[in-house]
Amino acid sequence: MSSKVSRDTLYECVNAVLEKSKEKKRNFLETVELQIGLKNYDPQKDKRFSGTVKLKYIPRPKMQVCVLGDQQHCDEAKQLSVPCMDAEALKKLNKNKKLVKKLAKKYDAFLASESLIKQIPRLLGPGLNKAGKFPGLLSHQESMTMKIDEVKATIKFQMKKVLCLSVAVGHVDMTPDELAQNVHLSINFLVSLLKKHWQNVRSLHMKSTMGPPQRLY
Amino acid sequence: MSDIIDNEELDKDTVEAEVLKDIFRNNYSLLTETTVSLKKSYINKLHESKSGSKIAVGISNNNSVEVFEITKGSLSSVCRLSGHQKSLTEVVFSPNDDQTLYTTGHDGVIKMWDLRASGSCSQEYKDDVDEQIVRPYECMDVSCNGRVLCAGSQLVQDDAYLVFWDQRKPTPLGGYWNSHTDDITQVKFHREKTEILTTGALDGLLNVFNILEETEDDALIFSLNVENSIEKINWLDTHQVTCTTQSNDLQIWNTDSGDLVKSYTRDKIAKSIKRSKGDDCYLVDTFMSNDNNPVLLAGSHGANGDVLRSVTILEKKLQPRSNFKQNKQIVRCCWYDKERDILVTAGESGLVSVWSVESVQPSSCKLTTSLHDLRVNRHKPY
Repeated sequence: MSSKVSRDTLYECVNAVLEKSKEKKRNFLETVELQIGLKNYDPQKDKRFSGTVKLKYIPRPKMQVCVLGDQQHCDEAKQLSVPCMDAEALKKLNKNKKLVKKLAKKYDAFLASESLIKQIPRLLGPGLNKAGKFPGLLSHQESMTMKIDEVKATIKFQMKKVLCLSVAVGHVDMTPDELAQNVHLSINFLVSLLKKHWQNVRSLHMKSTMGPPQRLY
Repeated sequence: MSDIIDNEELDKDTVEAEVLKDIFRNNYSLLTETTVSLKKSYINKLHESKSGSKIAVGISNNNSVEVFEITKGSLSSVCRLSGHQKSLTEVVFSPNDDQTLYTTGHDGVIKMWDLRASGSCSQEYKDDVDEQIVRPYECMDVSCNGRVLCAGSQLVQDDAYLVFWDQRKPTPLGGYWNSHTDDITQVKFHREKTEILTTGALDGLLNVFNILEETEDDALIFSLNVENSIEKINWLDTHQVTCTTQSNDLQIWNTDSGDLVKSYTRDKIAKSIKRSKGDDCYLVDTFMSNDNNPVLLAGSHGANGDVLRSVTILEKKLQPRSNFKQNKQIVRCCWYDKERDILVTAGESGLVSVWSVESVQPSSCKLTTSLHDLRVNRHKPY
């Protein structure tokens, strides 16, 4: 058991990122991302990897989720003032590419009831697929607010053809503790995805959208 | 909160060797094994011909294909095919005969090879876009009657293409490009119905198409949200597909109803093959066994990377099945011949291994004698 990133280094970096962003306030909420450099990995030969993990604190609070629901889910969504649409409303789009595209642009993610999710290609065509926003499943067993928060808090790691990747893990209005916990969780998850674990990690940096990078590892 | 530490704990068996032998009952022994090259090379694709007499393996370091003939207990090389300019990504035999082989790769070409003509390329299928754009193909398949070819491309200028060809013509019939938003990693035709096609991509969607429909909008029957990048798709029977993801989870979907039938996480699979560390577990593929049960082949990167086991996917659990003790490598692909009960595996050390059922032998008795011999020898060291 050897320590790779000590608690102190982690907090040093987190605080540095947050302070730098306070020095110069921007007109938008800066996102904090984790940047990872890999080694001993041949993207040509080795399997590519990807994975999703749910963070403890929501990294993108402004994300808008729309529920494509059956009667029960739509009623629930209206009570919670979550944007929602039922099958009738979707039918009205009439597979019109422009309207589907507009719908896809309006929201960041979609959730759909079990009965509806199978009909999506029939009702809307591949429009949501094309936008990369095909809905996730919302069942009646789970709470809607929790599921929406889960969608907002879930991040995806994906290695492309190059030996580096980055992922949004938080924003600058988070407390140092919140940010540190998200970073902690993300790093542990990433390492579990790698074939040789820490032996594949070259470097770890964190930075805010406009700030300088801070080296973690 | 604690430091971020490196968990150096080694992956090991969770049960004693004796117990292991007892629960992995259906044992296979190594029939024959051969290596494709003296240089370090990976084998990432494997396909068996219609009658099962030939296998073709795709070799990563020189983008070539080696074809072997399987005869009783031995593998003999038939020919080596090379000609792809960039990475080779798929090798598929024609479903009609043992002599026609298709390959594709990142150079954006599908090549048809005739094995009778000592492995010359007899046809090239290309896309008809202008010369500037090359669509690197990640995967391909041939429909069950051998008439239609389909290849899935990487994301090029924001579009991931599925391109179709008539087997007799080098120019494409058409394509779909609205259903996936990232590299398409798998295309698999239905084994009996020529019009049904499933595709999987890095965007986490498993799409089911009826390619007889005129437009892509109408052809798309289901989009099944796997919520994770897809590594491999395999038809289990006429209406179920298994899907392994890049984070090493397994899902089984019903393509008639669009329902998720079962799903198993990496940790659960590691537990079922009796290994301690979920992070080291990897999935190879699934196949239907000769007793008509779906079987999952999985292994572990940990220790020497030579652990390879299989489990039967039962109604409620994953039942230990076979332990491939003589395995020497991290396995990337496999092919199971149901009629002869033979499994072929290939992987990251460039080895092609053929496994067949072990005849039951009183092995425990043998073990005691060898231990006894050892002890006798120790008394007289000189």
